[in-house]
Amino acid sequence: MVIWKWFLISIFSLGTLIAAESPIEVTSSIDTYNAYETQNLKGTVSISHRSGDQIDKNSFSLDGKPLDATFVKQVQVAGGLVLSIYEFSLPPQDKGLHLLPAIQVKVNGKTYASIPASYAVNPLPTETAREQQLSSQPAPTVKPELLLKAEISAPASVFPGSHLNFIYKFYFVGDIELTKETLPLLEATGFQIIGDKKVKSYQDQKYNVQEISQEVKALKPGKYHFAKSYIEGNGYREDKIQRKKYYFKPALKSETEEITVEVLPFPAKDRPDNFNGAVGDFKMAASLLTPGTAFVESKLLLAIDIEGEGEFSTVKLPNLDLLKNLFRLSDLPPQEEMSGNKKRFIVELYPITATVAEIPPLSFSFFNPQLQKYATLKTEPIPLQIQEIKKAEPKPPEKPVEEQKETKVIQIRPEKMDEIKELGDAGKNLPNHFFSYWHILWLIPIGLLLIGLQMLLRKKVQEQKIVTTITSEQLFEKALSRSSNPSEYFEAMKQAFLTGLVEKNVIPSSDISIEELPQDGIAGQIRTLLLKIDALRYGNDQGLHEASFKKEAEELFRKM
Amino acid sequence: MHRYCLILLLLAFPLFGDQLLDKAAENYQSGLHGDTLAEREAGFNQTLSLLMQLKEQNAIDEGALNFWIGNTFFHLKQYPEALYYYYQAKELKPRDQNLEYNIEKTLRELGLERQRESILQKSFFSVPEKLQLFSLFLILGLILISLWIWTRLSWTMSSSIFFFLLSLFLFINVMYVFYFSPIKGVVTHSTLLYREAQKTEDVVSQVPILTGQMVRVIDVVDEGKWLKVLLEDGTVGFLPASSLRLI
Repeated sequence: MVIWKWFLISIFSLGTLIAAESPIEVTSSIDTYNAYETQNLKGTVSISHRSGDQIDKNSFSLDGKPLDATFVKQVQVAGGLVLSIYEFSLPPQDKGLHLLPAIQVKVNGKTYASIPASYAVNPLPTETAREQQLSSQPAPTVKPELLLKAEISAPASVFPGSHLNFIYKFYFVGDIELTKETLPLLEATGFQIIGDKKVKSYQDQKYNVQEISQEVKALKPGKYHFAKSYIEGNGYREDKIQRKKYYFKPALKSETEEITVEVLPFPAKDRPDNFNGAVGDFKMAASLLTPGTAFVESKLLLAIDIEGEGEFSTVKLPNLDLLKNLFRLSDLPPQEEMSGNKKRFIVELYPITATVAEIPPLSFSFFNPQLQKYATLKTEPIPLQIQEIKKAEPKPPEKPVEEQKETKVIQIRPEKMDEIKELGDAGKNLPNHFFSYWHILWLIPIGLLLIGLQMLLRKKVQEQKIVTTITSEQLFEKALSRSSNPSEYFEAMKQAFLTGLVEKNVIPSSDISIEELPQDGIAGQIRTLLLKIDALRYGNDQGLHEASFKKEAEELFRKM
Repeated sequence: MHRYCLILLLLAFPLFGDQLLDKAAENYQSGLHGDTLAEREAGFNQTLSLLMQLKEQNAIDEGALNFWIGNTFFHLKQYPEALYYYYQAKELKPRDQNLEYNIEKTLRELGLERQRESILQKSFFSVPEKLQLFSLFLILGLILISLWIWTRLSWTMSSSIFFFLLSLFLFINVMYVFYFSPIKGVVTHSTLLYREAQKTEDVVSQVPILTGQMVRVIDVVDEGKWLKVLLEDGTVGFLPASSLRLI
């Protein structure tokens, strides 16, 4: 981790050092691609420097003479450096190779110079030579042409709601670059634009045609004037070697006439009361999607189909006011489906009483633009059998069969309940699930805190344990002080040596027998001494108390 | 004195919740077994009112509660609302087959087909269940790591790492669901799909979006008045926010 940190710091410092020490560089060049004899030569000076450096614009000089350089742009480059680009111009030179001397400029008051470089001045190409340099394609044999046409695709009579297409056709020959265009039809002021513009290209005799059409909808009656449409452009030929365009003169222009679109109002004469803007030629039919035999307040689905040719966006649900006295209508809007030339409305009806015997005829009016007339359609009445909902009554006592026929009670319940799976626990206690809330995420910091606390606690306990551990030195002193009592003396001496070996990492624990001690080195010497002590202890030898033994033990202990 | 009042209030609260539950169950039964349409509607409407109160209290299992509300709306023949609550319940009870059956049934009533869910869209555990599992694994991991701290038994360390990894996986999963899972909505009022967030704009199709249809909400525009939605067939358009209920 530490190595990585130092590595990153070193890289960063090195980068800073390099950036700080980056020299200011000046380079200059002449645009040899466009350098022709008898023409002024264009060149650039590029200065690489730090963003805060001051470039003296008036200090540019060439061969000791002031050079008029114009600032072009500044570009950010890597390492916090910027590249300032200046442009200058030189007087015409003869064709051939020339030397661009060093250009000098002052940056932060200090003068810097570019390295001299060579450049070539090309001979001025003649028109014939230029022609030969053009692309390998043969020179065009046709003269560029441009023509604009504006059209409107619309029914014979346009009424509010009618759909129209505003079309522009661009006829052209050769390559043309448009420079001006005024196309008011595409703005379709006064009309509602439907969808995006459609563009298609095709060939018409010698012309390439590009057609742009926009679908629109008439909104209000009135006359809509569209000013002249106008386009202007330049025919050109492209030099594919030099990637340059050569424009022909004069510019090509084309203009259309003004266009007027008249949206007619629906005639007031003979207009049906229930006309709601439908335009076209339609047929209508109504049918029941559910059985005609039903109970009061049960759902009936009525389908109203309107089929034909016309503007289906203008076809709206026929007026259902007639039904409102007999049926309760759903609060939800009716479903609408469109398939081919047919629009279907599905209406939910709930009979209010058992007296309802039919769905009465529905009427729908539309305007036929071909015939310039209104038409009203009516559906056939649909017979219904509606039964009252009756409460179940107790079964009457049994009567003779003849009478029973007359007094038979039909047990009628409301419409059969739709079978769905019920919640088994409904009504029982539904407790929230334990630990199923977002608050449980608090367990993460709490857990981390607990782990940290436990680790701290364990560390403290271990430290305390170390502090309370008696050293071998202390045990040895204890043994010496117990010399009057042989039993305690031997035990303390043994513990002092074993603890000493543990402290020296010779043995892992002091809880081992003397026989298990290694036989080599200091441990071997201690083993011999301790075995000797044992032998003396159990042999009741008084020699233990002799000063020589104590001295031997002490020497070995110090050596250890 | 105030302390005693507070204790009494706390003791009374669960009782109040239980009473609501009992009352709702009673009304629901009267709705199911009502002899007339009016009796039924009264029963179910009373049930709805009580269940909505319970929902506000947030005191009982929300998955079960939404299921119940969905059933009540179904019996009232308000299928789009029923679907909305069924879908909410589905988020909390993803493996409930009865719920699945009711959703299918409601969609059939609306003349719609169930949109096929891909394996990636299906979830075996709900978010609350995942949180429960997460807390279980985390607690086990904490117990085992505590054992390791004090005993240094190697198996306790490896077991705790195993449980921590399980809880980490669940945590990432829950966070992903919370922040990145698509917002869905149920169309509760049939409407046309518009090209832009204005009713004066063109419609994408003359065919309206039917009630009960589920859509994915991509964006909220015009201060929440319009929603940019993605239909199952990939069509994108705008719907008035009032025609949709977000799940």
